[in-house]
Amino acid sequence: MIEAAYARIQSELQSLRNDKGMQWLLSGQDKIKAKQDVVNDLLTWSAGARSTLGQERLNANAEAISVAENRLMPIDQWSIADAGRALLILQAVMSAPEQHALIVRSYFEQGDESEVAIMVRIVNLFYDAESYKFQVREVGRTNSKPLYAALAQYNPYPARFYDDHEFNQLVLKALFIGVGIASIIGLSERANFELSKMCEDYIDERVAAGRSIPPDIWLALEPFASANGLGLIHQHLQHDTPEHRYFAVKALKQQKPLCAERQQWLNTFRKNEKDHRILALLSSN
Amino acid sequence: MKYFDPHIHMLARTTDDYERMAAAGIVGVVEPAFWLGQPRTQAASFIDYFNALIGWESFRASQFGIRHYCTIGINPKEVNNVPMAEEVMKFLPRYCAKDNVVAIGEIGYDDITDAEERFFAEQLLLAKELNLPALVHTPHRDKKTGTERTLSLVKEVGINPELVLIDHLNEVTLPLVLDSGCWRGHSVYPDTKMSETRMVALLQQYGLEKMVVNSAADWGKSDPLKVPKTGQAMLDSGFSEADVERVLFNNPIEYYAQSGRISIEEVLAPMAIDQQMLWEDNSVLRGQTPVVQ
Repeated sequence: MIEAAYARIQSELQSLRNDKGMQWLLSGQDKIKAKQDVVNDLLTWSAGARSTLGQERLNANAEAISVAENRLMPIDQWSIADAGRALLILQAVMSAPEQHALIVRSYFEQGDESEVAIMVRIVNLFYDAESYKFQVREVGRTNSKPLYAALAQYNPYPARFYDDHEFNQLVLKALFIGVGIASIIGLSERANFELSKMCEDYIDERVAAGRSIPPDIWLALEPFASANGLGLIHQHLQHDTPEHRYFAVKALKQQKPLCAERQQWLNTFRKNEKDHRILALLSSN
Repeated sequence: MKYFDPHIHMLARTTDDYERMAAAGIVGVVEPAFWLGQPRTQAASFIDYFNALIGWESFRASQFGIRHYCTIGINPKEVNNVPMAEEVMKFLPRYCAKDNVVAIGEIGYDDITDAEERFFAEQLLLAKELNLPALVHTPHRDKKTGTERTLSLVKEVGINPELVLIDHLNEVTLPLVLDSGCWRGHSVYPDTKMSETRMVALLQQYGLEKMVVNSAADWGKSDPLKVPKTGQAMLDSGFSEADVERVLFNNPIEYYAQSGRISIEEVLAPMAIDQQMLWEDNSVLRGQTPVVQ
């Protein structure tokens, strides 16, 4: 399985025609393949990836790679350095399968923030992905938005391995630190009563403190919303901020099929809405 | 006015902060043990940290005329590394016996996991056994549930609620604590947690009893002068100087005085600055003329 991921990353990197960068990467792969000191060589080459390969987007038009069922690698979100590091990590575990767990754990423990971010993005590819749950949960203790985004957004790991409580905390923390929850994989499938309640409590706190409510919170609140919670979503269809209206519509449309009451809310709302993005959302299935 | 900041992470602050705090009237602080902004990977790291709180930081504060006390504990985030937390629990009691340790803390919930509950309960139990105050952090997220579960655990462990301070309260969670017998902590922050204006409104609504205010300043965007700034906001809103002194000086010291290691008299006693002094051959000065009082 990881061979397929490896081949795809390599092909994306080769298509960039950065000969100097590829030469550097190849020398790192050769060093790792020699298996003299795999963990140290991996970490040493990985450390230089940003300065050598750069932080530009790898290929925004690339499609996320589905390596196997539930094993997703969204390379469209990656930088070139991310791809280089992922290639080095996969090279290490392919060259030294007997050191697989040591390699992954050492990278989690000794990598810097951007390195840990790429590891947390690809850890779901490994056959023993669940055994790194402790390391992944430790990553989730960060308050760094880029690192938290690597865990929460476009990442199948939490939906696959987190229990309801862990998943709910992941969503709430994303809302808390301002990492958008619309890109959390499995958000609608993993919705539960407790998560809706946590969102309603969070809104109560924000309102009591005179603070704004994150607009995407409606996505997590809606599936098991109380009458009060549903009323809040309905109310935010009239909000001045387009983001609130957009996510309120998106949240209400999560119900399939739509009940008559919601259909009526949305029909009434459509008459006064001018925002093209929201109108497109209303027209979508 | 004299002020006391009962929750501030001075290891993360500069000597400029100490100077500004002293100039604003802060004469004493309590520094609770917490995390480094990223998870520690080994228990031994706590030993160096606790030693720094008790040693170097206390000395550093004294060089600016501020009395420094601390609390010792393993914080809610890092107890999720269970093998490491078990190691830390082994040497925690000896640090709790140190002279300037005035409570166990900060302990409590973060993500409200089973591991957090286990070590929260164990540390509450230790506080009960040692008859030490317990400084309890309430979580940033799912705060209402976290506060409710905190109060249940305090009851379950059977520690005297007078020994417990529930911190980082807000408009939603303060009412839950009022009838519990616990002390009521509030962290005034530039953008999050609580503002001076909101704090004044809470004092107007709920009175001054057991009310405690801190800056919780750390390595993040925070303000070590939030206690005196709250004092000014109280005066501007019609509170008397005696009210300000009660909430921002007497209350927190009375709470920590249950440890038997701090008193209002001690904090008020004149403290002469002598910047010629060294701590393990280290000075806070970098070529400046030492202040000697």
